[in-house]
This record gives sequence, C-alpha cells and structure tokens, in this order.
Amino acid sequence: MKRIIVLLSAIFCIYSISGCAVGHKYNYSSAWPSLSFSSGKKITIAVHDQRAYVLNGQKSDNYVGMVRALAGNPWDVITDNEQPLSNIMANNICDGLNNSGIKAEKVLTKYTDSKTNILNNMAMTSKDSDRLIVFTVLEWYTDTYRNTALYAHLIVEVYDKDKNIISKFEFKEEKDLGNGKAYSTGPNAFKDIISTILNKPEIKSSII
Amino acid sequence: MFFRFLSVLICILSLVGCARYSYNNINYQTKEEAFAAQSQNQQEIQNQILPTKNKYDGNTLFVIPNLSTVKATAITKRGNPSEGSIDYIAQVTMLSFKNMGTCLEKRRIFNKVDIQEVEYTIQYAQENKSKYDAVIYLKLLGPSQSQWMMICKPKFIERPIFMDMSKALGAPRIISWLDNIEENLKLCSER
Repeated sequence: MKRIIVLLSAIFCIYSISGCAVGHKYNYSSAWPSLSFSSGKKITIAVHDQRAYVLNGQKSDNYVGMVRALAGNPWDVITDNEQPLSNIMANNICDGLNNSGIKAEKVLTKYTDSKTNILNNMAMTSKDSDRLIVFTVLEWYTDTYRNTALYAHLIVEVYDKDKNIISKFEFKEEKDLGNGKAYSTGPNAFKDIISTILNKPEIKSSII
Repeated sequence: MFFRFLSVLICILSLVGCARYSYNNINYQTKEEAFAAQSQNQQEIQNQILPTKNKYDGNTLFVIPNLSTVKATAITKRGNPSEGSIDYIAQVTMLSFKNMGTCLEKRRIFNKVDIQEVEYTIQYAQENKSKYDAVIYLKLLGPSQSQWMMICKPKFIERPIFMDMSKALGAPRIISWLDNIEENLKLCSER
C-alpha cells in the first residue's frame, strides 16, 4: 500500500512539474476569414510554409507554437489533426472566400516547393482562375505561459492568370493576445489577421 | 489520509462536471432538456404564424448554412469555449434557422419552399437562382455579420430582408420578417 502511495505521489509530482503541458494540439480548422466584399473573379490560393525552423528540420510542418509548464520550460504544440499548418491555412482561406461568395480553390504545397513551382502548379491546376494568391508564412507561432504571445510574419502576393504580380502586402506582428489559452486565441488571431489582410484596399482592389 | 483527499477530489470533479445548457436565459442540466425547451418554444411561435392573404404564385429556395459553417462563422469563440459548448450553440443556432424556414412554409406565401442546408450559402443561392421564382438565403460571414437576403425574378435583384427589432422576441419579430419578404416580392413584381 505504501509503495502505491509513493508511486502515485511521484506521478503527481511529475504531472505538476510538467504543468499539463505535454501533448498539446490546437484546432485551427474552423478559423475562416470573412470578407467585406464579393467578387465575380475566380481565385486560386496557396499557402507556402517558409518558417526557418521548419526549413531546417528543427520543427515539423504542423508546429503552431509552444506552451510553457510551471517552470517555464516549453512544450511544442501541433495542429490537432497533425496536418501541415499550411494545408489547414489554405483550407480555411478557401472556405472563408467561398463563404463570402467568391469562388475559390486551393493548391496544397510543401515547404520544400519553390515559389516558381507553386505558381506553375496553380496556373496549371486552375486554368480558369482569374487570380492566384500566394500566402508565404515566414513566421507563425504562439507562445503561452501566463499570457499568449503571437509571432506572425506573412507575405501575400496576388498574381493574374499569367503569373504577373498585381499586388503585394507584408504583415509582421508580435502581439500579446492576453491571458486566454492559446487553443482558441491562436486560431482566432489567424482568422482576424487574414480577414484584415484580404480586406486591405491594395489586396481588395486586385481581387474585385 | 490519501483516500480522503482522493474522495474530496472526485467530489469536486463531479461538481465541476455538471454542465449547464442555457436556452432563453434558462439553464438546463442536460442538452436534451434544453433542446426540448427550444422545440416547445418554436412550436409556440409556429402556431402563431397564419397563412398570408397575399399569396405569391411561385416556388422559393430557402438556403441556410450547414452545421460546420455555423460552427466556423456564427459562434464567438472568445473566452475559450469548449468543443461541447461550440457544438451545443451551433445546434441551437441551426434549429433557429430551420425554424425560420418552417415559419415561411406555414405562412404559405409560396406554393413550395425548398429548404437546403449547404456549406456556402451565397454561392448556392447564386448558382440556383434561375431555378426558382425567389431565393431566400442567410449571408453569414461572422457572429455579428449576418443578414437574410432575397433574390427574385425577373431581374434577380438582391435585397436584404429586415426584421423589426422593436417587436417582441419570438413570433412578432418573425412575422415582421415574413411581412418584409412579401414587401420585397411586391417590389420585384413592380420592376
């Protein structure tokens, strides 16, 4: 009996130190952006993950950030369905555009793809598309301890069907998302940021 | 001592685990009780909807978002609601949209109301507008960005359908929405 109590105490201590920080996954799959306008143009989108730590193999392509245990030690967080973040972002943006009344489809990419290959693939797959939009993710992660911080750096480029660039917008932000848990604040921030970018006059005018 | 601690912990967890489901500001212990209350409330609303005297000789398509779209767009996710809460709120929201369709049927403005739950309402409405005399759909972009819309023949002009928010919640407000559908139909015929 004494042994069981010692064992349970040991498990309890380990659990407390890890602070429930093990095995976290965030659900980004319902973070649809919304547009304040509609368009008759057909759009193809792609999201290209170019985060430095994914390119060098330090983190997997489904990495979305970290949570810190009581001692401040970080634990990786991945997407809930373990799919690459770029695939989930592409699905969300596509759903958001379609829900706003704009016909959109996506081309999935790998972080190892070159931008030229992605553009060629988009143009070939969606021959009837009027616009090709490439979202390049240079940074996207949340860091949760007491508060959740978001680190985001995205480049959005809009091309015509002949792959000529029409507009470009760069978004970079390091933001304190408050003391909520990141499993919803991260996806909410994604939804808000992509909505803001797509509704920017320079992007909007190239889509309408 | 350890077992006493464990018993207290189980008791606390049991109490915390008592989920509350709210409908019309009344809390219910189970989801089923809340849904039953909603069903009864909607039945009472439907009973107050009488057939119109301004019947329109035509069919309509009534388009509402499906559950996954409602979950993605209609629910405020600030404050970290659980998946269970999101699912419950989405189902309550869906039932209220369906109730609007049932009220439209009960008003008998149209010969037939074809109710469809789809992923992208705007696109579905646009793609099918020529098959019906009128299309009524919910444009749902976000929790605070929703509007009932109507497209009708012959020119397929899109108009918002308004609900008089000064009317009491329930049947009076839905009747004002049905009145506005009839006004929009008149405007469509005049042009």
